[in-house]
Amino acid sequence: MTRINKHNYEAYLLDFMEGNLSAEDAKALEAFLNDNPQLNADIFDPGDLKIKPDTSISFDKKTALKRDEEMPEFSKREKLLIGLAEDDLNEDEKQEAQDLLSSDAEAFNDFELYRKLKFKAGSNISYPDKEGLKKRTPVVSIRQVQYISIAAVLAGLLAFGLLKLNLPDTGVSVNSQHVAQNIDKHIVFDAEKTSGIETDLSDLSMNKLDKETQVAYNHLPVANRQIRQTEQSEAEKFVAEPMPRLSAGKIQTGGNDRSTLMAMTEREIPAFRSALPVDDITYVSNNSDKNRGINLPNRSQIQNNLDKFKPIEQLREAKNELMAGNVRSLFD
Amino acid sequence: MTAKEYNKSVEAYADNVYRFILSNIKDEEQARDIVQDTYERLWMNYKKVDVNKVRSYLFTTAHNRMIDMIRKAKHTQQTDETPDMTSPYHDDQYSDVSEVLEAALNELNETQRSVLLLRDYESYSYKEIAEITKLSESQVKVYIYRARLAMKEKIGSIEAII
Repeated sequence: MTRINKHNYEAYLLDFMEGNLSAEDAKALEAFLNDNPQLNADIFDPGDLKIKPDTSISFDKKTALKRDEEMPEFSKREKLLIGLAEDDLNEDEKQEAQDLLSSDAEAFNDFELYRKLKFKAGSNISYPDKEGLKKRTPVVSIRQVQYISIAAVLAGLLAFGLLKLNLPDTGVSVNSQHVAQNIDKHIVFDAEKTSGIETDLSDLSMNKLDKETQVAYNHLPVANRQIRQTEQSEAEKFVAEPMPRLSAGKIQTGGNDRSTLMAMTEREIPAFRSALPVDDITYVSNNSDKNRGINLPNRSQIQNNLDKFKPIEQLREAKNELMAGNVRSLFD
Repeated sequence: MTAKEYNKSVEAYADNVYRFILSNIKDEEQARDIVQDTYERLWMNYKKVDVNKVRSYLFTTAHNRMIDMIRKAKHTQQTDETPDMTSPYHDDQYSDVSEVLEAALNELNETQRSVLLLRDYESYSYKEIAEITKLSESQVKVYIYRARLAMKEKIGSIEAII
């Protein structure tokens, strides 16, 4: 045992008060205190110093914390009857329930009641705007954008006077009038013929263009930026801003890789769309844009931009120029 | 699923989801909002959603939205302004069985009500309901049994509905 002294006697005192001191140590402590009466060694009840909980406070949501046990509130009879009505019994239980029904008229009535007390959804209630939930198929599909791209490039070339295009020796004679006519066919936006949202770039086909136009097209310096599917709201966002004019310089920024041939940029797509009749304006979706929390579309804003930028009209004018023979040197 | 299948799911399930939500919250405008949000969410994820599970996806999403909305309403408005959906329909003066059923339904809490409506409206299994509501199967079963018993006690006897 450590000798009790004036430096450690308080520890012995605390042990003593808490009842943790051996009889031998208690005797030694008593002897030490008697020998040192000057020390403050009041013996008190440590229980007085303990903080006691306020028992008047109770948690009043205990019931909500409890979990349902195995349906203790149901009698065997009710379990069988409800279970039978719910088709929730195993074969033995079913037999037991049937026996009950055949021997107890009241049980039979109760079963019938359980069977009939089911809620039925009112067929007269229907969601009022299902059409609004549907996502319309894009008027400007990827393939259409392809045609627009061709047209846009031609328009840009015309508008900026880049009328001579150096075609490598392809062995194909390209006639500007023919190309213009061909393009004209494809700048008629046909919403009805477009089904689904075309996202597969590999599906892009030149089949709808004839050989001459394909050759012309393939040698146009279209941008090789990947087309981005553009969310309605993104279109809205872009058309809400001052619309940059489509320029040849803007388009001629890349190679002519057909697999990544889409020349339309985020700004240009809504610009082209804005030139369409408003009823034909629908959009391609972009999940990632959605995930960025872009707001819902506002078609009226797009309509307001109709007059701001009209590349299709510009294109048609260019085509007319071609047809009229005013510009003869494009592909000749 | 594809965009086309998404649009088909609007035709196939929008009414069902709407009825389910409306029966729960009795507020047409909020029910419409929830349906719209639900389909918006589906549209955001439609490529990742298995077409065979779209119905369950819609009900799960709508149910979650509804519970969020109810909790938010309780939190922000407190009891004096929040419609008390657990109170009886009215004071036991019912003109027909459907009113009695309606009253019994209104006495359930929102989770129990959802469970019962998913069972009755959509004929979902306990397992499917458990997945939608994030409850255990046994909880779902208890809620349904309890609701059936409560309704039976409210109706009284088979004669009342014949």
